[in-house]
Amino acid sequence: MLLENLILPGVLIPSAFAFAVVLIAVWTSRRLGKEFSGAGLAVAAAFLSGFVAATGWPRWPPVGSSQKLFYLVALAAVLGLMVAVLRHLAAVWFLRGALTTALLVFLLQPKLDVWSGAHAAFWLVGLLLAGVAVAWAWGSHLDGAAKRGDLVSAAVRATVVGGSAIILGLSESALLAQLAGAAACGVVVVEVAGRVLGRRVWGSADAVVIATVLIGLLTIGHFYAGLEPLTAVLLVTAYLLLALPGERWWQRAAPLLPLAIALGIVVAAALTKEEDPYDYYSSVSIPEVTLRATSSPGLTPRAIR
Amino acid sequence: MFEKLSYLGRLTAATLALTLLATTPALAANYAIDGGHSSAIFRVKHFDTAYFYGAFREVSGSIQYDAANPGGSSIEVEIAAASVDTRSNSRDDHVKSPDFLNAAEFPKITFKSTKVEAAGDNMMKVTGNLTLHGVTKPVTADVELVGQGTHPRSGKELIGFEARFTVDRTQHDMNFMAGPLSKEVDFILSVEAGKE
Repeated sequence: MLLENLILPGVLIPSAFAFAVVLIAVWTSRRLGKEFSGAGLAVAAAFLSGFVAATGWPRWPPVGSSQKLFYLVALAAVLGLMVAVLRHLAAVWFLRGALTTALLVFLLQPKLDVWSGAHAAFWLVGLLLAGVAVAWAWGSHLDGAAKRGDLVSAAVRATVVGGSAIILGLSESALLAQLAGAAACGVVVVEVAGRVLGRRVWGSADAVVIATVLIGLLTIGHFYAGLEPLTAVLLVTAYLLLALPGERWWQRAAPLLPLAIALGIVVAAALTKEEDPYDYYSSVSIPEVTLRATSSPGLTPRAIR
Repeated sequence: MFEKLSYLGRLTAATLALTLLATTPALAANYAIDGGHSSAIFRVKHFDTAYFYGAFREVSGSIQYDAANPGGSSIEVEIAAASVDTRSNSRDDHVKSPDFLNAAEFPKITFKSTKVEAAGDNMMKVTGNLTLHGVTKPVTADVELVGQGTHPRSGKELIGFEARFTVDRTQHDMNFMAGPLSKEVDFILSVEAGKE
């Protein structure tokens, strides 16, 4: 059960797909003589394959925010390729803004139907700014720190995405955690491939996919699955700190600070909360039932139906 | 004018009127579902081992029932997805989450009948569209007319039905953990309704 329902769709299948995409991308880039690792595509492949393995192919048109996110991540993978080809700053910013706007409008559609105009504008503008900032921070990080290919940066990236999965696991939805875990598997596969191949694997264009996955999951987690606002804010802070410039190890590891606080909140909540999200037993008062043998005529086991 | 008619004429008019009364189908009566005395119960198989039962606390809707012509009857039911009750707050939150009902995005579970057929004494087959998790699929329910009566205080005419049907939740895109929790979910919808 654990293998079939959690490990296979959450870890093994996403990792296998990400690995296959990296191999194809490296082979293609060598044939074309261009430097292209397909890291963003690999993360998208991990997320999308993990999604299909966990919940099946999404419907078209999509039903619900998680199915919408599936198609938006696929779109982000295509746009990421365009960004990689364009290498035009204004075009990159336009794509970031357009994709983040589309992401928020689609995911928040049920809320926009009931929110007042001012309420909707507040959330949309605020989340749009945060989303574009996160996409920029990831892009800046991948363009700078990832170029060097140092272990600290690699560990921070893997920890930030993997930590997001753990934190989403303590929302009310296990699926969101599984999907973030699938994306984290993609990130780890890319990091390992970079080490093994001894080449630069990340580019700023790959941030389009990673930011779409993370912003999308956080939005769904907060608005539809009870993810606490403070935890979501700390996660966003961790993403933003990725853009922190600096060569020293503690500067590169800065995003781990808010992430550590967020994980601390999760641990504290798990220890102090009355009810663990997936502990279905402690909150149920099960009456004690005692069965006694009886000598009443006619009440034999055969008579009990 | 009536006084001017002959005896034969009066007899003919009366016969015609009686014939018309006898042949005109009785109109369906409207009933409002009483949520306080209605139940929506479901069961799902856990680890292919045992049935687990849950319920929804908020049921509403309306019934048009034509006793003489059941085919002219109809029913509309609405269930609040967020009112799911599995006797554990944490499990309720999980069932309401995007993993299953996604109650924040799809707050209503609805059933609207499209066809009602008599199926024996006090039994009917009711076919309709069930919208669950934002996906609408046809479903046929076996419905029993449980009883009819009068409310002792309000004097309102009451009627009660019980419907049983099975839903494949994966057809409604609720695929998470399909296996440990069965795809098939059995529903019992028992409603009491008062005549309007």
